[in-house]
Amino acid sequence: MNKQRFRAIAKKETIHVLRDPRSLAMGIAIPVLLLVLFGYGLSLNVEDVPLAVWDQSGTAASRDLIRDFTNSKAFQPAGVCHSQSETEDIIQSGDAMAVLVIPADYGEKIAEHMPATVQLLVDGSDSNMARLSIMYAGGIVKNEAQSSGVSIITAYNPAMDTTWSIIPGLIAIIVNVIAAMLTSLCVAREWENGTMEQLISTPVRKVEFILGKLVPYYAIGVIDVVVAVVMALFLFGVPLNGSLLALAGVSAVFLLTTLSVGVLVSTGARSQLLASQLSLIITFLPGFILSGFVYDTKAMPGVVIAITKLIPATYYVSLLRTIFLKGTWGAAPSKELMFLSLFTVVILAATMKKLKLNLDGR
Amino acid sequence: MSKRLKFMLKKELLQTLRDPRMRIVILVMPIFQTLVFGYAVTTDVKSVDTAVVDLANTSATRAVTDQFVASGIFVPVWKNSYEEAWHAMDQSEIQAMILFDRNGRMQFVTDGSRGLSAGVTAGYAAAILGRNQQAPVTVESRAWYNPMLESRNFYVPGVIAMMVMVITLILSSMAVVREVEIGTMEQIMVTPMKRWEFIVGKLLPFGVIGMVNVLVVTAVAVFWFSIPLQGSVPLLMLAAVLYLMNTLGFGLLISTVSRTQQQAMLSAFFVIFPASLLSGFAFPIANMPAVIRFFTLFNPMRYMMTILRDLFLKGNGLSTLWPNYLAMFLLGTALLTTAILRFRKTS
Repeated sequence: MNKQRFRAIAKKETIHVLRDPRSLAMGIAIPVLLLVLFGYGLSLNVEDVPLAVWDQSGTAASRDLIRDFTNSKAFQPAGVCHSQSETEDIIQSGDAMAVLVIPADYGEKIAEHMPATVQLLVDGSDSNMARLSIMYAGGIVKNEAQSSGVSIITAYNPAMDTTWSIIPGLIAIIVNVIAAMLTSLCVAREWENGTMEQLISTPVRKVEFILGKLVPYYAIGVIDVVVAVVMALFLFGVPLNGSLLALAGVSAVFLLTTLSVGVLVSTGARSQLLASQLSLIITFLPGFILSGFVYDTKAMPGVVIAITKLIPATYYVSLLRTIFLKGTWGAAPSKELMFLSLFTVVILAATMKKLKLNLDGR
Repeated sequence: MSKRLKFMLKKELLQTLRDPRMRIVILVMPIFQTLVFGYAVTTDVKSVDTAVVDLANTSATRAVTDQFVASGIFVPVWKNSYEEAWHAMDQSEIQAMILFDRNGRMQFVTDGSRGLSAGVTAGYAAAILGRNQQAPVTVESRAWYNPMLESRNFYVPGVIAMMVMVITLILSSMAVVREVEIGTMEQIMVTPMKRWEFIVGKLLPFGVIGMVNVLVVTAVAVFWFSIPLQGSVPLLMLAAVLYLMNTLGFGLLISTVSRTQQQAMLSAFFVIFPASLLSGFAFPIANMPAVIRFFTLFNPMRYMMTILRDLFLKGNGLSTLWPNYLAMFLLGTALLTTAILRFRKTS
């Protein structure tokens, strides 16, 4: 590899990036804006589920129970029903997502210290909310955790603030897509604009070409990560329990991985339209759904787990959460880092193989 | 239909689908992704590796541990000390801990760095512990529309909306800027083609591709994942048409304000990402702060998400869903109008 030629390509690409200031600004501003929007906007907690009540008992005991429900953080009152058809209507229209049905004999049974049963009808179309509502309802009537003397603790996140686990994941997802998109056009553009032929006529070699191309985008990626981490710490108050060095090292490798994916897409696609379509399809939805950002990968079937392991974002989401919240850096995380490095090498090798610096490939 | 428009439609369809790799990306990839995502989108918590440290080791503590194991959700990993258990959690080898001190007092710990599943795990633990008590009141629950509370039924219809937006928005956002950047726009400018013919000719093929995507992905949901489609198919098609008005309108608007394909691509992402995360797909809109909830009113995917879920699971009709249809129609009209007004063939 010739340093001078590598530098020339890097310089050329940098000028290219600087000449389109709007893309450059978007490359930096979009992650910031998205992080602000989602950092404040997203929460996985289920709170204030609208609850309608059908009180057939109408006694002091039933009113106590209703108060326990509506005073809890989980539910908020959303109306009163007087018949079976009304409970159906209120759920169908979405005005209530759950209905508490208290049977007519409830007051008597409580007065006689007999076991009583109430019914909770939930809108199962939102399965997640439905399941949590049922759990909350069970907790309200029993208050089980306190009375049995068992304390339930969420480690690393004592207040169970979902923002803490969302933000590190969000950084990973955003960087994943932005970085791949930045490089995904860089080779295709040369072919489409016809400038590739000029490059071919120079003595530049493949490795100098690929690495030189990466330089300016790597710089943008570094800025993105630094800004995102600063926002996570100071704007959203996510604790950084691990070392800054670990965070920097992991991010440095991940950026290279996802930028390389973009270059590979660009080399293979040759058309900017195909390259952008492909890079978004392989990074955005898989990163969002398969990386463990929202859905726990452990609950997925084996084949799908195997697919999640082929997605670099899976490792970065997990590494960022570990470094931010757990603050540990042991045997398991470095396995993930090893994989990312290996993945990068494979991708770059594939790019080398795919890239043809001659006119035959046209 | 005018002859010129016919030529334009043919040219666009040919240009888009000429490349076999493009055909794979926009027609085959969505099927593959829906298949994978259909299995991935579950908020169920299964086989939680749980460190058990029992310093008391009495029949009572063993009975509690047995209950956890018998639930089938918790998989015990025996450890001898608290330190060992915490170390295992630090290394992400386990996701929960059951700790008994020498007096038999119990602590249950979940890994709070895991987000959603941490809360669900804690909920299961509370439910198991609650069974031990003679409770005066029990809750009997019934879930409508989705009795087994399959998370797949809730999430897969939403995947349709995201997939269609990703594909059609990228296609249309590059539609005009691509011709400008390559230089073919000048050739079109010298033809007698009218502005509306150019735009319809550009967008209609993408609309057709979008409809094919909707149909194919719906077929995967219904026939592969057996998600019941309770509502009417014509209503689903109507929703898809209105939704495509929005995604194509957004795309055309981006295309007219972008100078390079790179700008168009980044702008498209800047629409797709917030639209997906603020659509209620994974994160409930009801929990968002008021300002952000206000933003979601301008998000067409939000309305599509509601329509898809209600059509699939509840079988609702226009009588309850009409505000969503109306909102998509108004938004789509506004977007398309703005885009067409901004577009100058001679620019």
